Amino acid sequence: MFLVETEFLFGLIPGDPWNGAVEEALDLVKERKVDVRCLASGVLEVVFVAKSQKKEEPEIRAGIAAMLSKMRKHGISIVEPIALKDILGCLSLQESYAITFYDALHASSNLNRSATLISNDETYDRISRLKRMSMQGFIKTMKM
Amino acid sequence: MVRVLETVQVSDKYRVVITEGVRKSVPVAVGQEVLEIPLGDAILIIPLPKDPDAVLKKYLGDVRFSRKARENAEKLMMAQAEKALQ
Repeated sequence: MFLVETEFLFGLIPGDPWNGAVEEALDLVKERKVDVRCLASGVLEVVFVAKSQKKEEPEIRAGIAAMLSKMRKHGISIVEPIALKDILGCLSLQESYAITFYDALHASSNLNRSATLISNDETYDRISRLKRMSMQGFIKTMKM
Repeated sequence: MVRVLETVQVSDKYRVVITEGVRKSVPVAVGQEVLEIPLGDAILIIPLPKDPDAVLKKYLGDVRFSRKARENAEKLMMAQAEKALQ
């Protein structure tokens, strides 16, 4: 199972630096029927990133609906909820690795599901046992 | 903004009519997909856009995500949590 977080969600937006790679990944997910799921922790971060850049709730809600709609059309229709074990794991990772709350929450959610996180962020490589694949790495693997 | 408060009945196959009054506030077209989310004892229905790219560009097109944006998002979340505790 692969999981995507905030970087992938913002990459769904035309004009985002990662949009080209995300679009290519989406087509491959649909074509190969790969099990890719979205982390609810990523959706939560989208809310706060957008709010911190002065977006209002209706704009953010419409944007998230569009993100979910776009992913669903390409076969990403499961959103993994934030469980208690994810929150507790997040606190442990923050303490152990001195990383941000969202780094730790996404990482904890990934570890608890024994999944591979699709992300270009090398911060995750500091966390032992966490499996990460870059966007380009994912595309390359899917094309093989 | 006028708040619409309408009552409808759940019919066979659990169909629910979205009334004209509500449609005036939230445009919904026949055949359009909607997202339904259970919210405690309520159900939230969010119409899914036919052209997600256009919506994303319109509403979040100028939002930039980076490590700095992640740190700012965390700061805002913590500030809101602290405010809630006051």
